[in-house]
Amino acid sequence: MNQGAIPDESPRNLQEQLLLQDAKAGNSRAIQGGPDDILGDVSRLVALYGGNPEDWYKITSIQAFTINVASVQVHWFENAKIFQQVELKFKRQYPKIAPKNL
Amino acid sequence: MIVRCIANTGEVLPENYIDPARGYTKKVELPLTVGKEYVVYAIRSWQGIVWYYICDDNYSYYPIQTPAPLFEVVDNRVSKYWQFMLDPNGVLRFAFEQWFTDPCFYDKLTDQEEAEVEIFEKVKELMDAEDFSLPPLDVAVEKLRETVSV
Repeated sequence: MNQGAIPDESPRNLQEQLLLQDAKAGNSRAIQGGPDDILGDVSRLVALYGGNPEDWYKITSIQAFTINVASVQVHWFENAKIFQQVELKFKRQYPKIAPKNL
Repeated sequence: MIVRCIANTGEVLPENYIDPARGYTKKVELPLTVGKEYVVYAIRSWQGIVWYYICDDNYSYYPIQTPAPLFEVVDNRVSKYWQFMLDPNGVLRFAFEQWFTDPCFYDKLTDQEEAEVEIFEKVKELMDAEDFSLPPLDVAVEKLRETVSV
């Protein structure tokens, strides 16, 4: 796992921007995290950003947009106690036969 | 194990599942189709709350935890690929081998790491096609006795 802070990724296009806005508006849910499902990355998150291990969650957009043949979701880490959101990433899953540089 | 979706909104969730930190409010609407059946790839339970890991309607490469009360069980036979783990803090899990052999397996899978995505693709293929049929008890025991007596 990465040891340093990972900068937020920017949306590549309008659709990704809309997906991000929708997710940040509350259309999101936890993939993992909290007291019963501690994140593997939690030591790094606590060291970098503070908080307690059980306060950190990995969040995903509930929506997944199809953009240039890829199924796209947005993920980030969130400290639920102080609503800190960090390390935003777009997850683009391409069909196996499709080129990745569309 | 196969479950059928009976609801896809937070309105029907019991109070102990309402957890805004996880995004579960009364208003949440999940990408599930009422009446559709979903294979359960793993289960986590803690303090009376049960999560099924399923590939919902927005599935792309990982199964996601989804509250059990949104489903009814239509096939309660468990996968032969499952293993059981009880964490020291009381969290109970059923999942396939790789989930347990690497404590960061699910972190890596959801991070879209290639090796873990490939493992889940294979596990999913096997579990989706899993044959649960067993011979009747009398036939099975007769077959076993024949084998043992040889």
